[in-house]
Amino acid sequence: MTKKPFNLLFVAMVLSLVFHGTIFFFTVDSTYDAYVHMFFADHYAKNWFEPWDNRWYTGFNVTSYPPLVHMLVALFSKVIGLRNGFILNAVLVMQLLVVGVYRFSLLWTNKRAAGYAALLACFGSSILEALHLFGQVPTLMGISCLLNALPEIYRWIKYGKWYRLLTGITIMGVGVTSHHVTTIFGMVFFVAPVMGLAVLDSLIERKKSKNLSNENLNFDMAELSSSARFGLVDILLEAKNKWKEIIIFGACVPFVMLLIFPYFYWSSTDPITQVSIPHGSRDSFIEVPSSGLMFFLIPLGIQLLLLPYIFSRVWTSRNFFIGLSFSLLLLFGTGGTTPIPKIMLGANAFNILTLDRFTFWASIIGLPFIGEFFYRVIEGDFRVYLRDRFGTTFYRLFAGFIGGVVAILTIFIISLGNFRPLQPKSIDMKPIVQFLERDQHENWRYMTLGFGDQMAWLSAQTKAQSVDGNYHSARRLPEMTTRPLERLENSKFKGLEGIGSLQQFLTVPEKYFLKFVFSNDKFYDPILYFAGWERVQRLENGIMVWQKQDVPPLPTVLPKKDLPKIIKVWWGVMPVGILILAFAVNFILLWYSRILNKDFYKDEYMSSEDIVVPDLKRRTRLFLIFWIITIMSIVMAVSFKTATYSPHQSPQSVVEAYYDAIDFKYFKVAHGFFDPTDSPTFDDYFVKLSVEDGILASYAKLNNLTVKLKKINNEKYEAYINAEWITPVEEYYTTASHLVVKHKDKWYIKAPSFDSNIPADTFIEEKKIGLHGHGKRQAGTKPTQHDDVLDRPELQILNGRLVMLDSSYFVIGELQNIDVYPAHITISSDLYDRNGRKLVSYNAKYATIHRILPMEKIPFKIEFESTAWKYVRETKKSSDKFNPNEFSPFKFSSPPVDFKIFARSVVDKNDLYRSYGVQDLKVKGELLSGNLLNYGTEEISVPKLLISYSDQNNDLAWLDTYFMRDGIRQQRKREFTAPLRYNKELKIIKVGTNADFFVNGLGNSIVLKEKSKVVSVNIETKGFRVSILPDGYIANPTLY
Amino acid sequence: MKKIRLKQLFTLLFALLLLGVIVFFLFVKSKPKNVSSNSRKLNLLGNLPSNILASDNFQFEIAASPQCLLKINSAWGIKTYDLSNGMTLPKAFFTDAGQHFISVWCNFRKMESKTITINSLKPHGKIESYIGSKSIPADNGLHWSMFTVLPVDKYDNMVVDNSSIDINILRPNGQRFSKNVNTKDGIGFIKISSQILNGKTLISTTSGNAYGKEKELLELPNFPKEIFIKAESDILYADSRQFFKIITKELFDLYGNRVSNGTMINFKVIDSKGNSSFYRTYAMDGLASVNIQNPDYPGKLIVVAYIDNLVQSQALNLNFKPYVTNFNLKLGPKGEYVTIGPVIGPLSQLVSDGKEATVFFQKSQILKKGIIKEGTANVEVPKTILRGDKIVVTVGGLQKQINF
Repeated sequence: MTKKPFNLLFVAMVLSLVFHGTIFFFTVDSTYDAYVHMFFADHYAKNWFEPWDNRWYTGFNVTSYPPLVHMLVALFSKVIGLRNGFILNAVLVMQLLVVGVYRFSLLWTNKRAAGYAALLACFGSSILEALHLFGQVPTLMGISCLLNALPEIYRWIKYGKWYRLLTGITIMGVGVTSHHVTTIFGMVFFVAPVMGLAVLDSLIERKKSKNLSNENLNFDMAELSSSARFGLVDILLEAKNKWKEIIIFGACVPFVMLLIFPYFYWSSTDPITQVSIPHGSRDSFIEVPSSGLMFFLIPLGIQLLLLPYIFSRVWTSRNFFIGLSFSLLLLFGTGGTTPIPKIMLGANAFNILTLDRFTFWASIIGLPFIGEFFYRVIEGDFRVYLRDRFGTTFYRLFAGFIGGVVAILTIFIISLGNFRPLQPKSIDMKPIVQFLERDQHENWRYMTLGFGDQMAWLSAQTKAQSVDGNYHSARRLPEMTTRPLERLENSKFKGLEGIGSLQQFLTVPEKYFLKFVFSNDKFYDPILYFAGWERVQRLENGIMVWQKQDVPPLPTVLPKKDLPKIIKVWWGVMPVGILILAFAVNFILLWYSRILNKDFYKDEYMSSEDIVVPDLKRRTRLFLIFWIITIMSIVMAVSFKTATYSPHQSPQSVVEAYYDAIDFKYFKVAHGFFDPTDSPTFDDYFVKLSVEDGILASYAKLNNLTVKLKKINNEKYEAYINAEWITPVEEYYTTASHLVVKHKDKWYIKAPSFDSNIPADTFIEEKKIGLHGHGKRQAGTKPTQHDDVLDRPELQILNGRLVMLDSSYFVIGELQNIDVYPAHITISSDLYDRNGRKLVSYNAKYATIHRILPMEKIPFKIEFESTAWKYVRETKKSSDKFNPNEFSPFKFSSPPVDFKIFARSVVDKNDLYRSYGVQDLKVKGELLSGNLLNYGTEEISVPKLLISYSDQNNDLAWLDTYFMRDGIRQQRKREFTAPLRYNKELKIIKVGTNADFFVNGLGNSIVLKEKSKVVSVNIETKGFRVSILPDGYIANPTLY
Repeated sequence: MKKIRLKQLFTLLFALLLLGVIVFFLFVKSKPKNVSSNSRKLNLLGNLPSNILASDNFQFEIAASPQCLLKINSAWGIKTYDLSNGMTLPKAFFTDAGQHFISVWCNFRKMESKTITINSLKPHGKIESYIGSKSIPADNGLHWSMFTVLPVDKYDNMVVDNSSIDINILRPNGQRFSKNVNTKDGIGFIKISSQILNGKTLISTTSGNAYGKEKELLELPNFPKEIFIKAESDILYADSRQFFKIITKELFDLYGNRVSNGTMINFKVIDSKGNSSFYRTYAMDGLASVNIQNPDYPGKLIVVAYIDNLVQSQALNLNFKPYVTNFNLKLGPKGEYVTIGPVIGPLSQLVSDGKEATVFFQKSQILKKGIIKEGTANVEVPKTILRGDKIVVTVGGLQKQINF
């Protein structure tokens, strides 16, 4: 009995339904993009016809992404919720894709092989990756529609049936409204080759008729259809015969594109130019093998192993259009490995496009031929050949091997998110949503840190607005669009420009009405603390809430880029409209026509003969075997080397492996590198480590490491280490030395010594000030009343001046809290040119202390940073290198000559620990040294020193900040050696008078008239007095 | 057949549309009768008094006047009423104080107008009051706070000017007084200047049967006037390890109020070698104390407490006795480390754990530190030290040396 190909399609659909329907439920949360699409869906669920959404990037238009998938999820969400709606939609899309692959395969191979291709579509590496790792349902929907449209286009071109034009165009319309990029590129890489195929097939049929008319009875149809040769002139002549179909189809394409006219309207009218985001798919896969694995090897999967077969099948006379397409896509997919893609695409397109999509499309083109290969192995001529030539056992082994590769790859891709997490652990959003909903917290903007793509899931559940967002094309603020920053919340992974951008948001949060930060990554804690943020509470889900005092709430009316009503209606109606139309044309009309026995849709496509798969040439067969053996040998060699690698092989490797383990905090591994003859036990080592704190121990990432070895004898080396550490606030260079010894033919390092200080007292006690502000009202939801508002603490700005150094301008000064309450202060300064025009305004960042006690005096320095980081990009070629110290000075249109200082204060109750001081201050050469002693009850995690340089009048002349690398436990001290950085090139532009100082919106009151001259901790050097004021971030305070 | 039907249908629709347009122009757009064409003078508002007190007992009927509107323009907004069937001015109209400009419009022409002044009543119900600064320093009048009252009548209208309000004030010193203020533009206010005693000033407001909520003005302590400090212990050893406590005498401001909690006090410490150290603390319940670490060297230690730009204490001189009386020093086998100890203290005891010893390799200019545990410390000799280098060890100010 003849095997029915449709049976395989049915099996594939059921498999897809069960497999993806089950698995996606568990993988959806760890994908990159699923939550972004859910957020968009939530937008349509809330407001279908209003494209403006305030929740991201201070507002953006959702017309920046094709809407159909989001709209469908929005509709489903009304019944089964957002997440389940998204999963249901994904499962339906996979059904469409399986059918699409089957129909697409029928163009290139026989029906049975197309069935196998449909089966493989369920387990295709690129498809699995797109769905289960990336969550790119719109992309899958786009390609599904395209694949389903292709046979219709083929039939229109070949048979000229208008119905097929209608079906093709409507299906493409659904594709465009789902994912326009797929359709646009698909026109080149899919549609054009299929149109070419239609022309070629017409040519074949013409030749066939001609041969039949010549009564050439020996003519072999299969031969002609598979390996017939034509000249270019023949093809052009045949294309000329089909000019009407080609022109009409070409003319329809712009109308299809018009379905997402609002997208193009947004694209052309949005004045914001974006800096492209670096993407691993543009890396050289040899230099960055992980990118190669993720964006090339995994998507190709089994196809990589069978590449020679695919090439042998696509480079035939009939298939050469798709062969060209496949080869080009594969080439573009190699990213920056060779310069060819960049040359061919152009630098601009190369830097904007994510090139892994080319690999994805190549893998889709490869699917029919892979299906064909499986068909031939399982039930076709290869089966016979292998059994006859090598025996049944070999055949079974070979069949098991290729099946096993598919299975292993499937398991690997599905589980990749588990054993190599792509996202932070799942966060329970409920406590955050509740926090935002209560006490009118939604009246301010918020930001998440360390949430990964889950930030989109939070956004989807709240009305509150975030300055950040998760769709980089819609970024609007110059602070983000001028740098390759995808999101603020993962800025630590984006080096200099990421952290730089984040710092600007955190330094002047009032500009964005940003009041709350939800932190899931303690890496950012020092930035937040030293930029003047304070911890509010730790939520039940472990997320720390930070807030900035004294930020005004969002205005009632927010700016909005409104669109014409017609565009809003267009955007709301067209995507679903075309879906309904496509359904009507493809199903209802067809069904209706069949009932009425109409035949306008009928052509010879379905009744045409099955494509005959040509025999594989011997040399191709041999090359395929050689290729498989080579690839498998490489894979096995790499695996073996990885499995058997031991860092104990050389002194260099053991030191490097130790630092690598320390960097990733694999302490058990690090302990394994210690000389077993005298290493501490792991428990002892771990206890000693656990009490170490500091910016290096807790917040640093190793950026560079150089190891120099000095041989002592054959079994002993001294290793000198120069390490470059990056931290959220500064870059550190450390030096260290380790003794490396050989023991039983393995190299080990001697365990380092730790802080062995013994505190003086068993128990220490101190009084602490405790403040709590709760207003004067009953608990309830009523807004703040007048009686609840505390007075702003009174400050006095003691002095201030505008100085210039290396063409950068700074405002420095001192102020004192002259109130009886602790104050949280915000110091900002405006600069003016000689015509009194305001040039720039900025806040003090790290160079001050933001919480001050009554009568406490602090210095401050305001650095005027450019809001656009592009100046740095212009001058610094290797700008992607991380350097948190990097400072982008503001470019002034005219030189500033005047300034005003504005200090604001609110009563503060947090971070008032002051039980630490400076000991034994000394100046030696260009270095200032001393000890920072912690004599209180809290452990200081990150100590910072404000080093002030005062002139002869005891006025502040310059201010510098220095972050100490180690934390300080209670009743312990740490030495510091800081460079003296006073620069004599410093030029004073203006010394401020009291008229230039403003406190809490009023003029500065001179209450303290005396100026301390004799008493202050300072030492004189080079005509300046240097004094130190310490500030410390306490990561685990007892009061929180 | 089908085409013919469609054509007929279109013709019918067109005819109906044409008919609709004709009807619209004939009936809807036809000119209304001009009421004022007869130059008829209306007198609808003539009986309305022009000056009345706000009241909800007043009503006014206006006779029906077809195609006429009543327009009321006031600080409360603009309202229009249709007079086709006549109307009664609502009670609420006569409770909203202020000037109301009333006009009658017929066929887009103003036919009649009148200005009515509705006067507000006396203060009634709850009197709203606000205190400007809620806290001021008790600095004998230098600071003050503005107390503002906003009384309203029974209809929530701003009261008439010169309404009398009594403001009662109870100061922290027990002094109680009242002040009568008259409102102007709906507001009454007084300035409350600070006195010298810290505490709460309570403020109340009354006017006839109207009462205001109790308000509080915090009068808080001012800056410390002076600082005196003393050491808590007399047994002071230069062990560079233990802490000794310096406490201030109770801190008062110029007027004898205890300074507020959290007032920052700085301490400068100068040891016998002239090295400066800097400690900080803040006042709690009028006292401030700080734990200062013993110096490494015996001799005099000077402590001064101060508040920047304000006040400083006397210099407190403290004498520290030597903590280490003797210690042994030797090189370990192969010269890999230096053994310091046993280190003996003033009571012939092994010095306490945690005491620091500094080891200085003179030629190599390398300084290393060791922590004494059970009287002894081993300090590793760096691999780069050359033979003949002099090793100087200092423990508690006592110095010994040994050749490498």
